[in-house]
Amino acid sequence: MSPLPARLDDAGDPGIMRRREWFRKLVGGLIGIGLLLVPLGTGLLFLLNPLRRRADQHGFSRVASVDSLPMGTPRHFMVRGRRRDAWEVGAQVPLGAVYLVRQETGIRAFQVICPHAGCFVGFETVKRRFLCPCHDSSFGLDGAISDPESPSPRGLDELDVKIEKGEVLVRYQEFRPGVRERIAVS
Amino acid sequence: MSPLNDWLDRRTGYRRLVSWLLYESIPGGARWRYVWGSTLVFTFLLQLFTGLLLWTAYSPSIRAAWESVYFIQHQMELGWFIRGLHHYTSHAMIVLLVLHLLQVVIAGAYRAPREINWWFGLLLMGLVVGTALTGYLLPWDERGYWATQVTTKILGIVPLLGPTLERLLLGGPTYGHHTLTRFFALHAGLLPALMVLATVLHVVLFRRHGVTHSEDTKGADYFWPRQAFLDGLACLAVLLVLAALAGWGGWDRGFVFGPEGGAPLDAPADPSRPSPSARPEWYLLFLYQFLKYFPGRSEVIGAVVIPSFVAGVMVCFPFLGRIRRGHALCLGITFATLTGALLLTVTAIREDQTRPMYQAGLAGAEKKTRRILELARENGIPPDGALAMLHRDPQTQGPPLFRDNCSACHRWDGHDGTGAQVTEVRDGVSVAVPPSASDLAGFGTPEWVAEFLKDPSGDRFFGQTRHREGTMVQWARKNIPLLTEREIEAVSAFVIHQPDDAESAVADPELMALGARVFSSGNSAGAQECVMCHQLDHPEVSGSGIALGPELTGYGSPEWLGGIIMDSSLPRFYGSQNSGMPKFAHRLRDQELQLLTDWILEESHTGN
Repeated sequence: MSPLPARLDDAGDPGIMRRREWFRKLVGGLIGIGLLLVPLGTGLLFLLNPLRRRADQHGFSRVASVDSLPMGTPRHFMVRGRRRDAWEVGAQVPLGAVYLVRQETGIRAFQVICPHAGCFVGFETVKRRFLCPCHDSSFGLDGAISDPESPSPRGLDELDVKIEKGEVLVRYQEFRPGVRERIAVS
Repeated sequence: MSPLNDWLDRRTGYRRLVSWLLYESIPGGARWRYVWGSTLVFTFLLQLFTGLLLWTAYSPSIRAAWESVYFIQHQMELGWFIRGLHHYTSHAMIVLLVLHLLQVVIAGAYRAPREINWWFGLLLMGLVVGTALTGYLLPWDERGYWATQVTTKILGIVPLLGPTLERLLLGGPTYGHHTLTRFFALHAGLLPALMVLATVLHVVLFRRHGVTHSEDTKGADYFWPRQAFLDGLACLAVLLVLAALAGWGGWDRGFVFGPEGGAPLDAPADPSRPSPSARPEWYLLFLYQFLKYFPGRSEVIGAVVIPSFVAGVMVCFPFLGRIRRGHALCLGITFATLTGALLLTVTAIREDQTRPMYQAGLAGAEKKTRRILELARENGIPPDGALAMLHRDPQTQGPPLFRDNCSACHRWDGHDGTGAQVTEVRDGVSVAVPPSASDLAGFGTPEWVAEFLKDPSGDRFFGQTRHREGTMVQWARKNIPLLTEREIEAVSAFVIHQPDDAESAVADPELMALGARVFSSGNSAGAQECVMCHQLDHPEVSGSGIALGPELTGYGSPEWLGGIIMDSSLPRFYGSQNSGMPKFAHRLRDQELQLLTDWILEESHTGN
């Protein structure tokens, strides 16, 4: 009594056996890749979604009245506007803040976020300069870097300002910190 | 052995695992210096446990994160303790990691055949720091928010991939809902899972090679029981220190063992208001301080290149250790790095101690925190969140509103409402600006009115306005000397407490009646009545004059104050006599007007 061969037709043919073995490995490998690719690939696309989101493009919003600005002393004001954040869309939500500087030549607006690492820049009344409380970047009243040792790669980011009927309107924007060029976050 | 254990062992083989765990051979015997790894495993397990507990109460959303952490810290039983443990255990892990690393470097245990385990150790260090950084943001309070801003912005300046990585981490172009969900997924999901995996492999590899000892070591121990005992004692010491820290309320308060101690919780993050206290946790202060020395575009060198280079050198320790004097070199690099970090940390702390802006910021943040806690305790937190509640709080919003809208002309007790002097720059010099309208501290109180009546042309009142020589001043000059002190007090109380403020009327009905009499008909000494110029709708007041001055019906009430702020040139206020006060009807939102008037009146009545 001899044991039955596994398959009657190819019993004993080593070539066929090798080819079948090789084919099994190939298909097994492909199945393995498929098992990984479906969750990993779809998961990756899911995680990459923020790359497709765009930052809000803001119009001008009213932040203060001209009369309320003292000459030569910057003051920060909250800016409200429309903001889309994932599922949520708000019409008049706080977006951030700006410094308004009133001088004889007119009113200028600066983003309060330090172009170095993103802290809220303060103003030193005595020394008459903007000073970042984080890494000591300092800026003059015109927003330019006032100390060559400042860690900031550029001056404060100036924002577009409009005066209408005694009111100051500002177009709110944020910029990428840490680079010399002014690149709006988009 | 009991038959039950035999039965279990035949089916699971657990005895082999137990003996593998307990009967590790330790050449040279148990040592205190071998405890660091065990304390790290212990603290990590403690983090998993307390983290899981916190997870049951934490909600990663912009309007719920701070709120849920507040609830954990201040309302839930022992919430402050669990949170304090979780917070300080993360600090302890950093300290223990450094000790463990030092022990490994000194023993030369990074060299062959333990290279891979050295790399696992470095990986674990990175994972611990990553978990700490992501955890810092989760309470969504001021310190976590602003410090993490800096961290993610540093990620953004990494060449090439930086901006993309930053956006993927934040879940969008700026901080938002998905920033918290992603940080939480990293902090409580991915990073701990990787840490469990790496820790298991780290321990298995360690057991494969055993402790590092010199060639001539004599004697031996098993892990159980002597080393296990030492490890247990060390873990207990760590736990006791952590429990004490969880009850620590700072140098000024000492041990409080309550919600005011343990892990700090600032006011909720507010991107639209300054928060000058952005600092990382103490163990990363050296990196923070390091950034200050790289001006302009070289930031990336200080923030990314040099730290990565140092990390890279440490990865190469197993190879460096092979060359001649390599071990000394590795030791030198390790101690130099640690000393440098220590010096930078001390410098950072010292600089902050002498920095007025930082100290002022700390004080401001503390004040804000106290206020939000007070509000949350009194009223609970509304559905739109704690920050919205803070934005609706007159005590918090009043001072900046006063400064931004009123302080160009008015003063509050001499300052701009927030406590600062009003200054202006003339010829490059900062000079104090004199007020051009009345000082409103105390407005709406009988005392303020009485002082005004006695000296309307004083600097606190009409002194700087076109009313300085107006009808009111002339009236006062002529009539105030004719009135008694009691009559002045009465008429002041009357204009404030009409129409028939029940409480004060009952308090002194006689005074009210006298006030009404003086107001509508003067006194027997010949003082002229107020109603000649000021209308007032009240049953006790009869007759009316030519309405030269503002109508005083409801004077000192929120409606009256709101009305005159909105448009003081209305006939019922100053009409054509208006001294130049602008209309605020289109400048202030209804809510802002409400906050401003509420603050002025509340602050006046509580005597600021």
